[in-house]
Amino acid sequence: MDLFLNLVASGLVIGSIYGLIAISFAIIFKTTGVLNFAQGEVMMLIAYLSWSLGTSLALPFVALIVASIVISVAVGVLVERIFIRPMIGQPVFALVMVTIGLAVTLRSLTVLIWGPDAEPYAASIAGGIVEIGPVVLFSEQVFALALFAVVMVLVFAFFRYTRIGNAMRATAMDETCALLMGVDVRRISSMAWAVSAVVSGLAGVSFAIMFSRAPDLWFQGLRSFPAAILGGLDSPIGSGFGGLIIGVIGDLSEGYIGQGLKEISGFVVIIIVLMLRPYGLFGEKELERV
Amino acid sequence: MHKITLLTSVAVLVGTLAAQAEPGVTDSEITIGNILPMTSSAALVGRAAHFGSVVAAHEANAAGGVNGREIVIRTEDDGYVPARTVQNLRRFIDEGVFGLIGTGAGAGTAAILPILEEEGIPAIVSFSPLQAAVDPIKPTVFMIGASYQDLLFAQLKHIHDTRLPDNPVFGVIRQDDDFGKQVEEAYDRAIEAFPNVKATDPIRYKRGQKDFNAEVLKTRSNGVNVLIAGGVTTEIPAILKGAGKFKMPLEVATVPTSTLAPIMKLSAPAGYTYFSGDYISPLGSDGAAGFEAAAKAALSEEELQAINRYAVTGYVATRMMIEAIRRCGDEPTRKCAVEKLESGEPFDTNGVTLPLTFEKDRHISATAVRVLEVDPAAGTVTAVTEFEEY
Repeated sequence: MDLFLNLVASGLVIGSIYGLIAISFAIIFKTTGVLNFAQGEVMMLIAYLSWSLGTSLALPFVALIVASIVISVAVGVLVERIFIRPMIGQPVFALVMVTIGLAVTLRSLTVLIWGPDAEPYAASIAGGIVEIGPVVLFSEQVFALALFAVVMVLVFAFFRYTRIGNAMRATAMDETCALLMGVDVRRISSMAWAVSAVVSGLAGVSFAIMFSRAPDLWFQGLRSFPAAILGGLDSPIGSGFGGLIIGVIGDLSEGYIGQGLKEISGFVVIIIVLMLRPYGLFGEKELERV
Repeated sequence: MHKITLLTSVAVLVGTLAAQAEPGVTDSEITIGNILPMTSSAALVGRAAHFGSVVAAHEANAAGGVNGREIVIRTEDDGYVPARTVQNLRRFIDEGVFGLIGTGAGAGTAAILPILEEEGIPAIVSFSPLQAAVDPIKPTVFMIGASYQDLLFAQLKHIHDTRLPDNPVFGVIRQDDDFGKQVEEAYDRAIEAFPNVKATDPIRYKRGQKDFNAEVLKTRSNGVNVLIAGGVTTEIPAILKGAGKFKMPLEVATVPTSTLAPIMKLSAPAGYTYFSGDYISPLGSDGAAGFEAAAKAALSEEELQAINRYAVTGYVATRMMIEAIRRCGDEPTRKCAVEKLESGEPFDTNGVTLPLTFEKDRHISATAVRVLEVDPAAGTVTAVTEFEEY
C-alpha cells in the first residue's frame, strides 16, 4: 500500500506538470485553432528568465512567481505579435511550420544566452519534506500540485465567468460571427497566447525547481502533448486531467511492471480512449451540419 | 623528348591525384574530425571533449605543425542523437576528414562502427568508451580508457570489499540504450562475482527522462542498498534526489560524469556521497599540469571554464592521432596512421597517463581504473584506490 500510494502521489506530481503544459496547448488551440509546437520552448524560455531574475535579485518566492507571470505575459504577447499575427489568414500548415521554426530558434537562443550547463533553481520553497501518512513529498512537489489545482480553478472560472473568457470561447466557436458581434479577435488571440504562456511558464518554473534548469527542459512540452490529446485538445480543463491520468498510469506501470512501460502506458491509454472517443475524454464532438 | 615530358606530366598528375585522394589531407592542412553532443543534456561533456582536441591541435601547430601541415579540428554536433552521429560521419566522408576522435556517445559510436570499418577511417574512441568498439578488434578503431563495465565494476568491487551493508541488495537504474547496456553488463558481472549479494531486476528508463520517483520507489520497495545510478548527466542527481527524499541508506556507483562540477552541484542537496571511477589524472593534479598549461595557451578564458575530464581524454586521443600522423612522414595515409598506432611504440600523453600503446591484437589502452569517492556537498573528489586493472 505504501508503494501504491507513493507511486500515485509521484504520478500526480509529474502529471500536474504535464497537465499544466497540456492546458497551455489547449488554450491556444481552443481559441485560435493553432497547434503551438513551440509550447515546450516557450515554457523553457520563461523558466530561464525566471531563474535569471531569481538568482540575480534574490527575490522572495511569491515575488518571483509574480515576476514570472509578468515575464510570461510579455513573452506570450511578443511571440503572438511577432510570429503569429503576421500569419493570420495563411494556411494552418504554414502556421504550424512557424511554431516549429520558433521552437528550434528558442532552443538555440537559450543555449546561446545561458550556455548548455544545467543549474539548480534555488527557490526558498525547495528541499522541505512533507509527510502525509506513508506518502512523502518534497515541498516543491506539493507546490506543483497546488499550482495545478489553482490553475485548473482559475482557467475554468476564466472561460466560464469572465468577458474575455467568453469572448475566447465565442471566437473559438465561430471567428467570423464573433468578429461581427464586436469581439476584437486579434486581441483575443494575443490574450490566448499570454494566458497560455503564463500557464506553461509556471509549469516550467515548477519543473526547474524540482529538477534543474537545463536546456532540455523543452522536451517536457513534447511529453505533455499526449495529455492534451487524451483530455481533448479543445478542452483546457480536460487536458489538465489528461496530464494527471498519464502521470499516474506511467508511474504505476513503472512501479509494478517496469521494463520502460512508463513511457508506453500513456500511449496505450490514448489509443484506447481515442478509439472510443476520437475527440478526447473531455473534447467536444465536432458537428458538421449539411 | 615530348614523350618524356608527357610521361613526367602523367606521373606528376597521378602523384598529385594520389595525394589528394587521401581524405582530409591537403598540402597545408590535415583535418581531424569530432562528432560530439555540442547541444543537449550531454553538451557539458561534448564541448569539453571538443576543446581537448583543440588544445592538442594548437599544441602541435604551435610547434610547427605536422611535417609542415597545420592540424585542423572540425567538430560537428550530433545533439546526443545516434542518427545524427551517422549523418555527420557521412558528411565527413563526403567532405573529407583524415581520422575521427569524437565518435558520439555510446549509442552513436555503436551506430558508426560498421561505417568506420567499411571506409577504413582511423578513429580513437575516447569520449564514451564502448567495449564493442575494440572487442572484437575493428581494423581502424582504437580506444583509450576503461569501458563502463570496468569503471562501474571497480566501484561495486570496492563497495563489496570495504563498505558492504548488512543484507546487501544490489540494484541498477540504467538508460535504455547501448550506454545503458554496458552499465547493466557491469552489474551482471558484479552479481556473478559476488554471490553473497542479492540482485534485483535492472530498471530501464528512456533517454531524456527527468523524473525518477517511480524508479526510486521501486528500488526502495526491493530493499536495494547498493545502487548503480546509471544516468549520463542530470539523471544522476535526479535519482539521488528521489532516494534522498526517503533517506534510503545507499552506497552509490556512478559513471565519470558524476565528478563534473555542475553535476556535483545538482547532486549536493540529496545528501549522499557516492563513488565514481576514472582512468586519467584529475584536473588540478600534477599529472594534468601539462594539459592545463597547454589549455591556457590554446583557449580563451570563457572556453577554459568549459573544460573538464572529457577535455583531458579528448586531448590525449587527439595527441595520439597527431603523433601517429607525424610518424608517417610527408605523405600521411590512413593506412600508415593505423599501422603507426598499432605498432606498439609508446605515445606520450604529456603526463596525463603513463605513455600509451596499442598493438595489432590490442586496440585499447589506459584501462586501469581508480575508484573515486565524491562528496558533492564539500565539492571534493578523493581517490580511494590506486589504478588497477579490472
